[in-house]
Amino acid sequence: MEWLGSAFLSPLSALFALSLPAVIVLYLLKLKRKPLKVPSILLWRRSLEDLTANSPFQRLRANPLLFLQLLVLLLLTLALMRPVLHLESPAGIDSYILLDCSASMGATDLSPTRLDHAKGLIRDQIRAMGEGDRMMLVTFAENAGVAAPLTGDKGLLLSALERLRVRETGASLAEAVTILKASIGEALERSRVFLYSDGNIPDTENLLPPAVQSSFIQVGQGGANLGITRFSVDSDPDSSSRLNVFVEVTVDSENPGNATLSIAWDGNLLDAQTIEWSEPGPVVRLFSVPNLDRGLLTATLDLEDLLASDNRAGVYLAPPEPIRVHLVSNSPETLARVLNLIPETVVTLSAPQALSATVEADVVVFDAISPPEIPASARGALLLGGSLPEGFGVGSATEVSHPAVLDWDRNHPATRGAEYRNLQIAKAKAPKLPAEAEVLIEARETALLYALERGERRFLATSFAYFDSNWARLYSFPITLTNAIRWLSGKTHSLAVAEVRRTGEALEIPPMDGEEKASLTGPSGEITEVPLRPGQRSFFSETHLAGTYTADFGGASALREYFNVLRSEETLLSPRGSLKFGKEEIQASLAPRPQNREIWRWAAFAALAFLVLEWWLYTHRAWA
Amino acid sequence: MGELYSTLPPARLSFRVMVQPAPNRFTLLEPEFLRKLDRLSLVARKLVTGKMRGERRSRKKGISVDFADYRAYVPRDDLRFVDWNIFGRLDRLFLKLYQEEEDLNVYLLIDISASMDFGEITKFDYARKLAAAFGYLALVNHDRLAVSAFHAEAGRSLDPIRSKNQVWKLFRFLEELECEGLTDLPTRCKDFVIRNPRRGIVILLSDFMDPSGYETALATLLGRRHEIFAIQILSPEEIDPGFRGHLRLFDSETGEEVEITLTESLRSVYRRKVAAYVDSLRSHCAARGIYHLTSRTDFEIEKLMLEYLRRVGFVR
Repeated sequence: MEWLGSAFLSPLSALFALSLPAVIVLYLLKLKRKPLKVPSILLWRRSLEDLTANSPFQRLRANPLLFLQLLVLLLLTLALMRPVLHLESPAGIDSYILLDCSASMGATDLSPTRLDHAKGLIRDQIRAMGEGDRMMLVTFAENAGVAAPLTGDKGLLLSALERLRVRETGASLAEAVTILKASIGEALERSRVFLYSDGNIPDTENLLPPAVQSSFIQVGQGGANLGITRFSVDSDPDSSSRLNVFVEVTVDSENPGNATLSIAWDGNLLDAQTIEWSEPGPVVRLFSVPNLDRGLLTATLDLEDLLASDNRAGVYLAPPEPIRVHLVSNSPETLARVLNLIPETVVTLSAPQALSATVEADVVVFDAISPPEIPASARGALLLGGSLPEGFGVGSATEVSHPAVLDWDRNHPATRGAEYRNLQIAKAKAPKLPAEAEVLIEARETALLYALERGERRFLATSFAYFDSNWARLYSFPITLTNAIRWLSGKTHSLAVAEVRRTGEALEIPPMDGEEKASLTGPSGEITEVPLRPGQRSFFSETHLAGTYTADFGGASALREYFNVLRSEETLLSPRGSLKFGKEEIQASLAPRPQNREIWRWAAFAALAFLVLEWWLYTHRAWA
Repeated sequence: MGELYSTLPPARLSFRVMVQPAPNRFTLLEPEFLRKLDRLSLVARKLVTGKMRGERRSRKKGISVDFADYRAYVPRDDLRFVDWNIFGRLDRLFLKLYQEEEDLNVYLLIDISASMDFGEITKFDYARKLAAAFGYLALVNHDRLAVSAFHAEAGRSLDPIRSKNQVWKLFRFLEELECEGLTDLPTRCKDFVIRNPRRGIVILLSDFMDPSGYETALATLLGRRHEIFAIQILSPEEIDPGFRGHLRLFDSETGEEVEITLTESLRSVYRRKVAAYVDSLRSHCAARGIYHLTSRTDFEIEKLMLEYLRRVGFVR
């Protein structure tokens, strides 16, 4: 039977030949007749001699019509089997669809959205697939994923396509190209890549696309759009009781216009400003609002444009608990004054001999004291000139005179933003540090400031007393103290400000004792169960839509985070006419190149319908 | 009619008086119609001989009150008929001849095969009514009436009756008939002529739908020199069928089936076949001096007897 497979592309279509006996059966088919008594069938018999008589399974007569029908069916069967001449065997085409699902694909310049329009084009492409053709659906936004593996199953491709939704994140092709290269492998000849996008992809130039025929189908017409592309909330340097809200609005419109930008807290309007523009570009606005309690602070552009998701930005404010600092010193005046300047701190004092092991404090500061133990409640401790208890593995110290600052760690939270070049020290100690100790300020002879972490607890220690140096007169002193207190306490913000989040970033869920899972509700109302690991932080990364994500912990207090688009490349909706893909520049087209679409099936079905109609007319012509 | 039915047994009275016929009960003839029939008689074109002297003027000369002719006496003639007045004048013996009046043999042959049980007014009922009318006509005129109803397997006969006051026998006989069996005209006609050797008027009531043909049957009757009235009874439904569609027709007698798709063209062919069949019977009868009449069951019997048959000289 191998010859059958080699002579026909679709040998299974030979099953269509089963229709031949079906036609014969149609001719033999007995009609359902109503019985009727007559006095005599004598004259009826004589009448029927003039006409064709119907009888159950009459003898098959040499009917030319039957032979014609059988011939047509035979030819149809042959056609359906797709006979070929073995000149060159053309293989099917493998189409790789790269579909941009980033935020800008939600723009409504094409009805209903760019993504839906692209899906329509891909749907046509799927339907036009011929025998042997295959297709793979790869979607990309900030991350890429395989929506449908390489397959010839049109149903599977269509259903996978229907499930695709816009991800309100940025666009990156890097992962998609990696997937593409792995999938295409060596089959370069038969592979075609179709990129459906508006072209606002920042990283295409650095990519090395597979060397296959690629098409860029431009999706989008462009039009006026405004979007909030930066949003931050910081404390007002001039007033500790106020917050500065910084908003950058990117305008993508050639025509001048204006819009209102409003700031609200939990839906209550706090302030509004008018934005006017005459040309495309960023417009910046600064709002000063009172320090707020826990709640959602939002900036909203009050206009209707092509993309709605970038018209709003928000952040949940979470006023931190004040940092409880306990200072242990014999002469606490100087240090206490500096520590009290650190916002959101509560400073308590005690003499070394009065220090209780059960003191309640986030951070304990030891002023030139080597404590026998660190109070258990303290999350961190700062030792200025003292040495850590024995259990920390810090060895005995030798004294060093006039150590000079050699270098310091500029990235560590404790030393960030401080300058130690002018720090002069009269004397210091040079302890032997354990291997896990992190040196933050380094002198040739010794570590001047080092950090140690024991589980969740943090420790900082200087090898000199501040009064043995000029540090108290330098800016780096209050900065380092402020940084140190925040880092040691684990509370990095002093004001009612939380970090502004962007879509696609992970939502961090802190360790929740006794809870095994969190119920996470997204902006569209869908609920996801997130398993929690005891004693560890958990992450939820499916933050593709802009809006509020709420993690509930079975009746306990909920965690809320607001995720924003905040990407200028997604706000700029003008589609690109070409895309530089690696070294190659691909010109955009509005639709995939027309492909040959086989319509022989319609002809075959029409022939079949004609046969049935003809048979029906033949057997029922008497009704006319 | 009152005096006629008053002579009948009381048990049959309710049936035959038919003053108030019960619903759905078969009614042979209405009294008013019977009264009209009293004035009619069957016309025998040929001279036929009865067994008894009757009310019909025979071609034969015989004993009667009406003088016909004289003839010379021959030995062994009945001397009672010698005209003695002529003998006195001429001295020769002449016999005085009178017009002899004879009775007429009327035979009713009724086809009671299953094919007769068809139609809104069944052909069987129509045939029975016609038989009742003809039989009554015969009895009113003191003709000798014998009735034979038959189908292929068997038949029933009414022994000859002659008097008008025996008409209830005829009616009871007709009433008790039932339709069944196949049609076999040749065999039954042969049986009939064997059992009834005397010539007479044979009124054959049938649809003549006999697969074996009617020619042999009519030839058998003609062989006995009967005067034959072939009355073909057809229902309107079988002359022009109103049904249509895909049908399986089965023969009421044989049960044989034929499947048809009754279309306008087939119906047209069938109508032509029926007309041709009737025409062939008519031609056959005409060629052999047989009265022929085809009647539809929706044609009024009264009109048929009183108007049509009088017009064609069947009765007077």
